[in-house]
Amino acid sequence: MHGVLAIARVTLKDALRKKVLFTVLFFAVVLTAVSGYLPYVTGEERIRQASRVCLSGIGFFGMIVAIFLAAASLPDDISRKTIFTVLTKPARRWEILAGKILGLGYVLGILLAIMGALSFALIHFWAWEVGPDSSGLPRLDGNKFNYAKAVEYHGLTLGLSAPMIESKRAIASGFDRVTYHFTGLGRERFSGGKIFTQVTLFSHSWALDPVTKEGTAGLVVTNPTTGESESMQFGAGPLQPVILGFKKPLVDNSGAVDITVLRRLPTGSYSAMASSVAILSQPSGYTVNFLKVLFLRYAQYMVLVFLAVAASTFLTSTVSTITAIFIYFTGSLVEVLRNQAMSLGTAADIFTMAQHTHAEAAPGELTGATWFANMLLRDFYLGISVVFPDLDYFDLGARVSQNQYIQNSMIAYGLLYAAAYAAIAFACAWLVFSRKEAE
Amino acid sequence: MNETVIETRNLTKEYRDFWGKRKVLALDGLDLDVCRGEVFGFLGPNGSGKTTTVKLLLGLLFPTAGYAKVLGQPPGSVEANQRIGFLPEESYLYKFLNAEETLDFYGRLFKIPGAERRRRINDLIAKVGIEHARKRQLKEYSKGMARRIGLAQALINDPEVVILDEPTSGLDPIGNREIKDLIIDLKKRGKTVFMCSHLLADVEDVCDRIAILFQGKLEVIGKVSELLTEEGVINFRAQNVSAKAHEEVRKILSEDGSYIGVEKASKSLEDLFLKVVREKTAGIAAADEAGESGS
Repeated sequence: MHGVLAIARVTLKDALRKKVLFTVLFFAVVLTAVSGYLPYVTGEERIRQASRVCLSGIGFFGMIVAIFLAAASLPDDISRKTIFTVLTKPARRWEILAGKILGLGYVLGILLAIMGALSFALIHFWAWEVGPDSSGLPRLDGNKFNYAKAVEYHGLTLGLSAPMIESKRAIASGFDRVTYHFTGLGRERFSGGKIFTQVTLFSHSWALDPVTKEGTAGLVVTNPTTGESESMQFGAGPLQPVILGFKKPLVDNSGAVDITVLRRLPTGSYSAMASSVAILSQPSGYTVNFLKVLFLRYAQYMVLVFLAVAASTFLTSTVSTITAIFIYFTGSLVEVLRNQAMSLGTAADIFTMAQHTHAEAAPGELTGATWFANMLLRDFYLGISVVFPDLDYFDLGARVSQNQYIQNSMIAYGLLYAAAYAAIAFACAWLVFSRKEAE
Repeated sequence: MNETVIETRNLTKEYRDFWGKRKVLALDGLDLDVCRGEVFGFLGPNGSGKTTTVKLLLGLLFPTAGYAKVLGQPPGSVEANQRIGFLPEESYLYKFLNAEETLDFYGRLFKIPGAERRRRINDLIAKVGIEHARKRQLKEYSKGMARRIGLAQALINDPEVVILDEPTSGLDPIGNREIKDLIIDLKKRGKTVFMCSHLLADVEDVCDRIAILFQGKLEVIGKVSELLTEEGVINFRAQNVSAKAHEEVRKILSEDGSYIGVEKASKSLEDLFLKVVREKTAGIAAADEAGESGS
């Protein structure tokens, strides 16, 4: 391990000498100039814009640094022949590779930390500039999930919205109380801490009582398992969503919550509809989400580093750089290609399709050839999507700018995926490098 | 003295091109034994296979046929590298590090503990005479200084076997002398030195045994003292010889039939150069001291 650490330190120093951190300066200037100042963007959208610009900037600059440093690291040592003095010391060859990669890991970690902190500050600056939202919550920390969006992304985020949860769409008129039982909220999001609950209620005369100044309705949110509850009164204007902050864990472990709307005053006529419940991110939600995005980005950088180092064990630095950039681009297409292959279906599907095509165009001819061609195409797409890393997976920037919660399982899966690629790349690199002569 | 520390048998290296076609036979069946404690000079014109041999001994290249062993271990193995010091043809070091950082880096590769490492770094920096430049980045080093730090990194692990590829190239005569003294010092401490060079004077000065390589083949091997003896020739040395004595000696030898000739003894150019520079240096130092005490 001594050897690995020593080589990692030198790799870091080398990168610093190459003034890699100037990238960050450039990054900062570009971001500050661009992020908040795009025209025709106001309010919430301005914050999103800043978020998008910052996070895609981090992705791009980090990728550039990762590829260029990693592809050159080993070839540089070979061309300036420093490898001679290192190889003749009692460092095993895998230690040299591991040291290089670890050193690049340091560099990218530092880079990511600085760029991340900068972006974080910038996004918060814009959030502060824009001010709190209509319900008075700060923009980022009390951020709500947009449940309309959540429907579109339900495959990726937790169940957040009405269509996904078992909701009671009761409309009560002149009611005393009505309880809505929601299930399927998933528990991951609610493990401790403060939660925000959004209930959409409609009323015909929704106002504070002119005499008592009391709210016209009350809301009780209950944990169906423990019976713990918190309540509040409200008298917001009609058709306003209600956003309530609760300190207790009110969603139980099965992901269920009871929300009761009470009529507090005998006068007035109103109906309530809690057609959906959205659990908003925890107060730290934005920060945690942001960190998760950076974390997966780091995994993505490291996948590129491993692949570029592996390539550079047998290619020159220029060719390895080109290879790594190629992998980056193809890797961003993997998802599309995989979907394309899936849409072609099974061999039988493809055969049927080919038959159809030819039944219309040239009956009885070439069915086999078309089938074969389509099979080949499918397998080619599939092959690419297996061989190349799905780099889009690691890009969760869009999620954080749209305030979508990022599940821990996504991070875990991403890490495993990255580790698998890294392991294969490292094994290949070691195989080649341990047989390499230093001429 | 008889323990073999470097052994090669039929060591052969062919360079092949990308398609596997033979390009050049760089080393052809080398058999060599270097014993513990000797300074072994490995000579040959450019392209004769010296550096190839060194790289094979270090495991940087793999032999096409035959084998090499260093300290009984296969070249390039951790066990062998642990006890070898290597100074490459040019000082291939990280130019962005300074002398201390360089030695620290290589010391860490040997897993030398912190305190010991710092002690050795200080010792070596003093020994190779780059104390004034210990904090300077190597890219600012002159060729001679680069050579010195290169030698220092080769000695960081206090190696049993030191392999030096052109140790004195690029050095001025003073540096040259100092490096040679260092090599002799290594020998005194029982180290084995294997050095490649084509600066014959240097080899003659420090080596016990030499081998001459030509186009990958070993042509000559033996003790310097034996190889350089001119069969049956003796030199007399004398000072302030009178004309009479001179004439008589010549006469006696002529009668004996063994007279070859008389020439005036000359100093070597190296000696002269060193003498001049040392006197000058001493003069400047004395002047400095006088200046300092006067002010």
